[in-house]
Amino acid sequence: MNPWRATHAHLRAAVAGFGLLVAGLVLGRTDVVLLAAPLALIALAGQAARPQETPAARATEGALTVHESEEFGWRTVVTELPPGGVVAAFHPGQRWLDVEPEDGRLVAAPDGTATTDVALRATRWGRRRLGGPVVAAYDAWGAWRWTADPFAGLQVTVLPATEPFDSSAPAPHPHGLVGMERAGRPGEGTEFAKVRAFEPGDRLRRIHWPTSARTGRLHVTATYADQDARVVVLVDAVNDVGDSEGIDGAHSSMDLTVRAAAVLADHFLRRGDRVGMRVFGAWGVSFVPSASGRMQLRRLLDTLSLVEPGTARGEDALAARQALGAGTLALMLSPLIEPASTRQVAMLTSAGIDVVVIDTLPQELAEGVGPGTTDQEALAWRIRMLQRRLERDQMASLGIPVVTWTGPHSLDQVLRDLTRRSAVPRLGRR
Amino acid sequence: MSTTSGVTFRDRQGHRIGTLSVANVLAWLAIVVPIVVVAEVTRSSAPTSPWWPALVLVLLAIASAELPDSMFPLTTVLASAGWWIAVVEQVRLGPTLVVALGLLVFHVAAGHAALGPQGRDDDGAVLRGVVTRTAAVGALTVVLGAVADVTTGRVDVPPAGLGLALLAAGALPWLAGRWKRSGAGH
Repeated sequence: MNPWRATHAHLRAAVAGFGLLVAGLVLGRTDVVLLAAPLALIALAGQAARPQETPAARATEGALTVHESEEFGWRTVVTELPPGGVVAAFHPGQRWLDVEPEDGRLVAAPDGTATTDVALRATRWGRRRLGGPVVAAYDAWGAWRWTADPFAGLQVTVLPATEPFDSSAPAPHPHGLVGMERAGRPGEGTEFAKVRAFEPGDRLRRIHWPTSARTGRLHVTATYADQDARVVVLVDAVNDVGDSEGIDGAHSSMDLTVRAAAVLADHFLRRGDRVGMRVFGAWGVSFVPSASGRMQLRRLLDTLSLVEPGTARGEDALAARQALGAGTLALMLSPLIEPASTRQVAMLTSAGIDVVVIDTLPQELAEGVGPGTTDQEALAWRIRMLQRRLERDQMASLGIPVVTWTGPHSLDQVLRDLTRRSAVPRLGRR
Repeated sequence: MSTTSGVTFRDRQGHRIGTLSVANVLAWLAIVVPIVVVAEVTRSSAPTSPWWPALVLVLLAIASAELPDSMFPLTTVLASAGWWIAVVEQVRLGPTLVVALGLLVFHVAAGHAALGPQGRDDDGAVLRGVVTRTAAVGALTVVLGAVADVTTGRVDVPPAGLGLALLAAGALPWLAGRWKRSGAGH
C-alpha cells in the first residue's frame, strides 16, 4: 500500500481545476477554461509525480544528559525521497526548553536524502521527557504527503549549572588522608611546618642540608599533612516558592537551592574534599554518602536533577543527623519557610556539627508581597516573613551563620570564621 | 542560541502566542493579496456587481492564510471563480489572465504554507523550487491565453478544443512519469 496521501492542495487543484474546466466547457466560456488552466496543470503534474518510494526516517532518540543552558541537537535523516521532495520537521517546545527554530524547518532533498537539525536548550534542571517530534515529507508539487511514524521524545536529564566558584577559604574541619586542606598535625604534604632533627623513617629527600651542615646533625623539613574535609550539603526541598522561568529568568527558591548546591559540591570536590548530600522533602532521593572525585560530583548533580520539591512532607527532624559525625561541615540550603528546617539546624548544631545556613529565598519574595494573589494571602506571607526574620536572628544569636545566597562568594567570609572558630575547644552534646 | 528573527508574543505564563517576522508577513501577504487583486479585477470587469462578494473573498483569504491546510483555500478559489462566472460578461484577455495567475499564486502560497507550521524556517532551495514551478505553470497559462486570444475570431476554437489542448499539455508530465517508471522497472 502506498504510504503517500494526497494533500489539501492536491485536492484543491483537482477539484477546482477540473471543476472549472468542466464548467467552462459546458458554458462554452474560454475565459473559465483559462481560469482552470493553471490549477488543472498543477493537478495533473501532482498526479504524475505521485511517489512510489517508501521513505525511511531516523531521528535522535534515547536518553541524554546535559547541563542547564547547554545546547544539544535533534537530528532527523529522511532517505528514499522522490526527486524534488521536501521534508518538514517540527520539534514541539515546552516549558524550560528553547527550540530553534521554534516552528520547525523545511528542507530540500536534492539527492533523495534530507537532514534536518533542530537546536534545543534546556533552561531548568530536572529530568523530563520531551514532546514527540513530527516529521513529514512532500513531493515536489506538495501534492502528496508522507508522515513518519511518531518518534519517542528524548529523555533528558538536565543537571544544574555549576558556575565557577574559586573560594580560597578553607573548610573548618579537615580530616582524612588526602585533599587540599592543611591539617593541624604534621605529616606528608606540601605546606611547610618547621625544620626538625632527623628521625628514623624520614625520607632522605626531606633532609635540609643548610641546617644539617651548620649544626653538624641531620635535619629534615617537616610539613603539615594534606587532608580533606567532610562536607554535607543539606537540601531543603519541602517548598518551592516563587516562579521559575529557567536559568535566564526569574528563579524560584528551589532553583537557587539546587544551583547553589551544585556550585558548592563542585567547589569542594575540586579541592579534594569529600562531599555528601541529604535532601529533605523530596520523594525518591534522600541521602548520598560522602565521597570525593568527579564521579561523586556527577552522582550529586544527578541526585539534584531528580529533586521534586514538596513530594515528601513531615520527615523527622532527627533524620538530619543520621550519618553526620562531629567535625562535618553541614551546608544547609533552605528558604527557611518551614519551621522544621530551623529545628534541624538547632539539632545539628547541638551535636557539634558546624552548620552554615544558606538562605535561598529569592530576594524579591523576601521583601515583596509573596506568591499569593489575595489580600489575606499577602498578609499571611508578611506575617511569615516577620517570623522568619525572627528565626534568622535567633540562629545568628546562637552563633549559627546565616548567609543569604547571592552567588558563590557569599560563603567566603563564613568559612573563614568557622575555620578560626574550630581551633577553639568547645562543648558539644553527643 | 540564536533566536528566530522577529517579534515573539507570549502570554503571562511565557507560552508563545505567535511570532511576527518578515517571512511570516510575506507568506501571509502571498495568500491574501492575490485574492484582493482577483476581487478588484472582478469588480472592475463587472462594475455593476455588488461589493459584498469582494469582502467575503477577502475574509475567506484571511481564513485561508490562518488555516492553509483546510477547506478554506478551496472554498476561496471556488467562490472567486464562481463570482467571476456569475458577473463578468465582457471578457477580455488581460483581466482573465490576472485572475488566473492570481488564483495560481494563491493556490501555490496556500499549499506551501500548509507544508508545516507557520513561521517555520524554509530552506532557500525549497523556495526556489516553488517559484520555478509556479513560473513555469504561469508561463504556460499565459501562452494558452495568448493562443486563445490570437485565434479568437480567426479560427473557430471552441472551448472544448482548448480544454483538450490543456489536458494534452497536462498529460505530458504524467505520461513522462509513467514512461520513466516503466523504464526503471525493466
